[in-house]
Amino acid sequence: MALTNKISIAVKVELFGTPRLAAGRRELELVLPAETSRQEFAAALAEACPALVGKVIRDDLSGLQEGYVLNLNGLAFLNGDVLHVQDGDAVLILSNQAGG
Amino acid sequence: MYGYHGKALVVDLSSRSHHWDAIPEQVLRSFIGGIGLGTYLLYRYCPAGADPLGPDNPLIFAGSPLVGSRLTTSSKFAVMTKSPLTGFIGDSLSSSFLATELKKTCGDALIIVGRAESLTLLFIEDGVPRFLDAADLMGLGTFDTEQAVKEMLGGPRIRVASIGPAGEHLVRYASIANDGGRQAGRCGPGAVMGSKNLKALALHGSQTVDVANPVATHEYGIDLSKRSLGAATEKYRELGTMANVSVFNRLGTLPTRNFRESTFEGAEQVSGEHLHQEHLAKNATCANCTIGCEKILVTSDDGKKSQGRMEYESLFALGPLCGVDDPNTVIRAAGICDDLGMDTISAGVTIAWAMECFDKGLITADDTGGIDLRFGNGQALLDTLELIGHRRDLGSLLAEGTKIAAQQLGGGSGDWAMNVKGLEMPGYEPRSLKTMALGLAVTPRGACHNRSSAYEADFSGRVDRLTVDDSRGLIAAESEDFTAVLDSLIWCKFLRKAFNDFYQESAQVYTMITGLEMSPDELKRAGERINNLKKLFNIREGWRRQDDTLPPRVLQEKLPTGVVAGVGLTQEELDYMIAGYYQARGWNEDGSVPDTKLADLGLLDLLPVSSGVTISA
Repeated sequence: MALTNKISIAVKVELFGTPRLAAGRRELELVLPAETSRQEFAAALAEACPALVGKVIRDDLSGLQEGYVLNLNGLAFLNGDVLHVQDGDAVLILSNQAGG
Repeated sequence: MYGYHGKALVVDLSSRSHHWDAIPEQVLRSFIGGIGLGTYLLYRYCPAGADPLGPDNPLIFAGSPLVGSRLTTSSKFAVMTKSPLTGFIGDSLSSSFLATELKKTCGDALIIVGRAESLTLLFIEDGVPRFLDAADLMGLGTFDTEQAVKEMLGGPRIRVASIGPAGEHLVRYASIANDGGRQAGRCGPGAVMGSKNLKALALHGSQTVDVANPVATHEYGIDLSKRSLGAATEKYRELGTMANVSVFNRLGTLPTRNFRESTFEGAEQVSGEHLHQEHLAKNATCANCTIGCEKILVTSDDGKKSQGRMEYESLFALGPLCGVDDPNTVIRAAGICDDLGMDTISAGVTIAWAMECFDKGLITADDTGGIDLRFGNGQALLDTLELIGHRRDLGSLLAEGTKIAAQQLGGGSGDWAMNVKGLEMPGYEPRSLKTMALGLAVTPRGACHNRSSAYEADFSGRVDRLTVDDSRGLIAAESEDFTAVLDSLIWCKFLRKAFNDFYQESAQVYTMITGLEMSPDELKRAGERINNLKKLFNIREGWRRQDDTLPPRVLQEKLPTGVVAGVGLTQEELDYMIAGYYQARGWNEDGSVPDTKLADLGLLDLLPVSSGVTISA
């Protein structure tokens, strides 16, 4: 995986629902550039947890499958192309199918 | 006529008579079917001021044009009545083969009025009712009742809807079970059925309705079924709605211990992920559904084995809301509710209210017959459910639901009676879901997550879910109208993200099936029309501006835990959003519906409706 020459930060990735079942774990740590694109995030996640590829991460590692959204620290949803995350943040991977 | 019969069967239990009433094509186009058609029929057949538990209150089963088309998720029906919990419009949906049998037997709807002299089994075969003695079924749970009725009438092709002991005892949130334990649960239709001395309804028919364009419908159905198996429904297929527990807990939106908190320390034990790994017996589907969201769970401890359906609302209400973190207890509790025939949400919320009363000393061990009704006591939960279902001891008070029970008990317990208009709150914490807070406050049937899908905006990042702004009124109104169309056609909500363009596709499907031209805008207008008529029904039954509100706890206490600690919702914020909602609806500032709006929606031509009711603020 080729990360750009930006400052690297450590974030916790929390998995919910299908991602948790697929990964067999509730969370993992990633080291990312501070200004991370969705593609960079997906690639780093795939490297840390290959079991998510296909089910949660697109096969070409270009991003997450369409059924998922990202949330920052349980508060804001990350909808932009660039993920503005900081060292120590938690990035939640959730289904986009809210409620029920 | 395609897709519809153009008539409804009216059965009078008092006189043991029946007749057919025509439903004009213009009415069918205007109200579609399901909840929409049911709302029209309720307005027409329920006399103003009718006692919800009296013989005049109709119990209506409404089908839809999509029933029988074999389109995925379309085998649904609506149950409409004046709710004994709220005194306002009561509606509930259920998915089962009862929907197809209803359409083959009773036309577009079945309207039951009157009251039988003694406990009765109503067997309708091709539109001809028989009134059978049901004394032998008295006291049976819903599962045994259905089995007994099928044995009595001779066969698995007969479809049955029934009540359990809760309906017989007029528990105000009694449900109507059908087709193997499915429930029309909310708003107390089972109590209305019980008030009519109607233990069970059995249907068998052969009257099919042609589809206008069967080839196009079939091809569309194949395409939609494929989409229903994709990413748009994955959550529901994998974990079902149970997946909400761990997510809601993390986001601070999981109501806990009677809405005192919005995070639960025991959430992992009752999470969808844990239940899937430790308790899943099998997956199941509704009739004619390709999604298959149903999770059949089984207990794993040494106690009495219990197996049954589980979904988020049952899980939150019988788990975190009562402080219970033992999955075996929650599985048993849901099974008890289904067999007694009680809405799991109202049952759980009412017991959580009682637990807080016990905590505060308003209810004592003398009142409970020795049950230690503390938060977290799973056995107390199970024992209390049985008391409610049979209206024994404290159960008689709790069978009234939180609104009436709090009025009877007093002591300020209304402050933590978690209902809107009398209907108990679903599992969405309004303080940390502000758009949903508005939806819960204004939706006509009371606190409801199904008739308002306003939470979609909160959970998508479309809005800041922790703050209030002037966009929420329009979002809430549009979500209600969308849901009204969905519930009238009737599609399953879990299909909603599988549509490329919901209104465009749904209008095309409507035309394919009925042969009636329908545009996306016309369909959208139908949703608006349906919600306006619901509101008119409520106004006729005494709705006032102050009925559009939230429980005092929500407006007075801030959330204490999780990422939303310190977040609250003030009366001013809620009023601001409600004003925006009335404005978005084109209503008056006091929430009444102007005649110009009725005329604009064509309601004055369709019904003898009136907005001429004085509404006091």
